Amino acid sequence: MSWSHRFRWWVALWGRREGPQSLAILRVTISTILLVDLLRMRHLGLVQPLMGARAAGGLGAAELIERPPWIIEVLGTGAGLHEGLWWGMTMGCVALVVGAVPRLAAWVVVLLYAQFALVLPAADRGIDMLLRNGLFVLGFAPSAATWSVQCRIRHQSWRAPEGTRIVAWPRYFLAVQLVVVYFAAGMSKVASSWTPLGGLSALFLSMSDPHFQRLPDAWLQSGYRLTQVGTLASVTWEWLAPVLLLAWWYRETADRPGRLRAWMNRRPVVESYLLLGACFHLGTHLFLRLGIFPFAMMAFFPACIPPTRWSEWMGRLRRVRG
Amino acid sequence: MSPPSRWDATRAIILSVVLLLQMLDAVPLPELRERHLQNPVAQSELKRWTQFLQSTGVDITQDELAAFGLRVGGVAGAFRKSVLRPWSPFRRVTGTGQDWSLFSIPEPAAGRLVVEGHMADGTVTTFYRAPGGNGDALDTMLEYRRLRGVYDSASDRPQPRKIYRQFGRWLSARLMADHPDIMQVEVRLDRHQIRTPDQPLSPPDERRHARMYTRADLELEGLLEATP
Repeated sequence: MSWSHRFRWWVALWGRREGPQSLAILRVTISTILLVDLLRMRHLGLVQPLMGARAAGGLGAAELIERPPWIIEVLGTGAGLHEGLWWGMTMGCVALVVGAVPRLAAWVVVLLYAQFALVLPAADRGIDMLLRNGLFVLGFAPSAATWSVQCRIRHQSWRAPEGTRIVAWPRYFLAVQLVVVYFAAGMSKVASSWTPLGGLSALFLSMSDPHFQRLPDAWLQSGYRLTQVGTLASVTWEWLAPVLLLAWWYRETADRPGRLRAWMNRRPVVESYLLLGACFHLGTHLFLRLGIFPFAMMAFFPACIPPTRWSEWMGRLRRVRG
Repeated sequence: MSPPSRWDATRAIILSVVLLLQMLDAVPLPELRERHLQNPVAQSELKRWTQFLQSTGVDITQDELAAFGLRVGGVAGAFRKSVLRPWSPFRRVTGTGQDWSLFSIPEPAAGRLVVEGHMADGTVTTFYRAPGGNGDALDTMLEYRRLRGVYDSASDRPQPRKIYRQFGRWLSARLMADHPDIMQVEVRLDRHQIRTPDQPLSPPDERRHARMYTRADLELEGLLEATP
């Protein structure tokens, strides 16, 4: 294959079009997770301490740093800051969930979310960055082409007309993002406790950390062997994330020879990987206090499922229900 | 395959550049600094990896391994920083990035948040001791992930950041507002040594980062309404 042919293939890949279902599901899952987190913050009475300036009773001191975030110049250091941030983000998430002005909503949420991270950096976790990355991509994507208010207004139906096609690159981007997160997280686990050298004790240590602990010490001690197996399984699972890329490449080049290609194409490799991931995340949710982390990670899973697959599954579900 | 349109090609090039930059940001390069090596966990890791390398026949000392790590870390960090520098204003505005060192180094010496109230009758009541378990409003609030991030970030530090003090003042004022019989609140982050079943029993928790807040001081600072 010549370089010119490869370049054309690459350009065509990013210009592909597909059904709008996967991106609509991503829009709903990502924004719902953040919305739930924001509502929880309000319910716990933590909007003012976490989003507010020091002058208004906030824990952060963003107004005192050398380059204060622009939101402080716009909203000041009074109650307007934390209320403005919270309402802006919450309304943006609601708009995304229902699919009204989705691009604008995604941009509003990303920009305010980034300001929130600057107001109190200690309250901003890795998972928040992932959600912002996802929302950033949604800011460029036609994510409300179906199952949205926008679709209802345009087509007098919640569902997009048959044959609707949208650009596929935002979904590809988010799928690659998921692979990058898992693989980079796996590669970053350099502490010996993640390896046999340190007794594969990483999961046990995490589960015994009082700030994350869910199970009593005695249970953890008696289940130590299981946590070792869990450590090995989770780190191996993360290292294997690039297998998804390989699986997609093999599907793309299914007409080429190769036993591994044929073997992988006969099996639901991507779906199996995601199913294992869901078990892994639900398991960590049961045994560790991780907040929205497991669910926010799973919110990106629909990016790995092409729209044709959703239609297939929904068809099967309809048949089962008669 | 027909030749791509100019717009298609431009889009593919833009997306490729973004993808490349994101990949570079995500690569877990060992950006090691001198201060990282001062951590006791890092020291024990260094010792363990040195012993492992020596057992495989590599002739290296702990100091040499540390120096190698610092050298590689310095070069890797400088390279990444220089490539990504032009994009940093954009990353600041959007809050996007690719740092995925999630749970990379679990701490055997963890922190344990303890909140105690010194009551008007002279008794001391523990209102919260991680991992909680009462399921009451205070537990639920302190276990909320964002608030946990505020105090948990002090767990592995010899000296907590300024925000820890602000957190203590805020928490004490909130507790005193709910319980008028509290005269003082002590907020601590005890050092809790985690031991695996094959290690000797854990020593008792060590008191650390203890801060005391009195009702009178908090009233004076305006964080609490004056008691009638």
